[in-house]
Amino acid sequence: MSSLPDLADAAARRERFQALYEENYHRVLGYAQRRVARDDASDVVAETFLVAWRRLDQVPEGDAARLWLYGAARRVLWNQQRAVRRRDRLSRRLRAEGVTRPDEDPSGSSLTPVAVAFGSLRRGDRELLSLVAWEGLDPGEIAEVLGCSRNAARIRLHRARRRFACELTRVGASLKRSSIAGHVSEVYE
Amino acid sequence: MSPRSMSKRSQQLNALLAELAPVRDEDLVGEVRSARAVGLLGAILEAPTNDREAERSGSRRGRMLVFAAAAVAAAVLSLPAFGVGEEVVSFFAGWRDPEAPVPTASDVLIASGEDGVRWQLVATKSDQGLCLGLVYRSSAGEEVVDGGCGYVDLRGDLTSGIRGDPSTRCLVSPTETAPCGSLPRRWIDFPSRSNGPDSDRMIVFGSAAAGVAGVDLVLSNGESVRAHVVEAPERLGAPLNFYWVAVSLEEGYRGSFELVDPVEMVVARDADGRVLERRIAAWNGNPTGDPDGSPPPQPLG
Repeated sequence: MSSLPDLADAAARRERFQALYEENYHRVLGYAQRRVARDDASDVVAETFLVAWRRLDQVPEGDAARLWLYGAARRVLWNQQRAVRRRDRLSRRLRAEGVTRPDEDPSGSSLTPVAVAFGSLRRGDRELLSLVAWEGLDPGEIAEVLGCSRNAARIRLHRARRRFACELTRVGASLKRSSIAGHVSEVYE
Repeated sequence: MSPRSMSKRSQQLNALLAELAPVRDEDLVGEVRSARAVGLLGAILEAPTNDREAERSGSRRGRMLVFAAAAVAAAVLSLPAFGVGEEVVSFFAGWRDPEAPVPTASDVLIASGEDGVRWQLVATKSDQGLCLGLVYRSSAGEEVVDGGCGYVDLRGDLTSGIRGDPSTRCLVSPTETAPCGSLPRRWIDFPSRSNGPDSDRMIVFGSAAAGVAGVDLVLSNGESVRAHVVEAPERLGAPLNFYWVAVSLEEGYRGSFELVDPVEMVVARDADGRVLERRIAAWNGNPTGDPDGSPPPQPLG
């Protein structure tokens, strides 16, 4: 039989989780929908919050909870995607994985050059750049999500930008050359 | 991110990427009150709160409790056990991509093991060169291959089914390519990696030239681990060696699955322990992968 303190703890736990859920549901859903098809995104959201429920003691308070959830969602997503991923690391096929939702553009035929350049990056680079451009995180926050040092996050972000700039240059015949060239010249300084 | 912490050009780059986002968080704020979200919350609050409870309830992975249909679970349970009798699971099974390599010989089992689930390291000759992949069956019952096919730049007398097409273009700098066959031959290839079989460990694997008797991996945390090295089975018909090692994610890079590469460098050694070659990941400032090689690329634009 549960004691009164146990019941109080359980109620407090539920209350905390509900607040976490209501505050962050749209963020986790957005994170997932920006990376996978809608149906898959629902699964990612479900599993991410289930992990949070089971590990609520590890979820930090305040805004740090959002970063913790991103980290959890990233792992869930990775576990989900690895089931369908077959890499060809040498052929450098241009892929749009993670750029468009598969259910919207399975052929990838209408991709913009920016999307092609982005899709041709390594998954890790894409995720780093996405965390900045889509989730609005800074290197310190990315470090929290990835579980690495702030300095490591900054360096890897710098490298990812450099590689993205190279890809843009490679596919960028119709891009705004001035801004792209400008970026490239900067990142190698 | 504060605009002041980024250069104007980084902001331009971010702006380009932001346009790719198919949805914005602001558009989803009301979703938490949707029937789906409310239903999910109710289901989670009824779910066990820790692994022990989850196991007691018969569902170690709580997600099954929330979403998996009974029919799917039944289908998974009815699948035959993976790797029984070390039957090789084809690298190419289910690969429907029209650009996929075409195998030119049977799959050859290089190694197998169990880290969470049973896995096999499989090599196959193809019209695009050697295919090397780690094959395992996911928790959802799907056959998964992590690996790839392509030109092999290792030393040795390799047939075209192993070597690949020497006219294939290889990247020699961020903006330049050259025929792969014109580039220097190597002792060791930088590894592929898979954390599919075990979420706590990553299996790192790759190929090396004959004569490489030892392989060390230098991890991003500074630690060094020794890989298993085996000769290619005679059936593959190639003077190659292969290496693999399971790296603990906690040791290697603090639980970050993909974004932080756990392997900074691979070191090939001969039978006497002498270093034959050290190789780093390409595109970290030196596209050749040689830590003592050409300098970083020159400014563009």
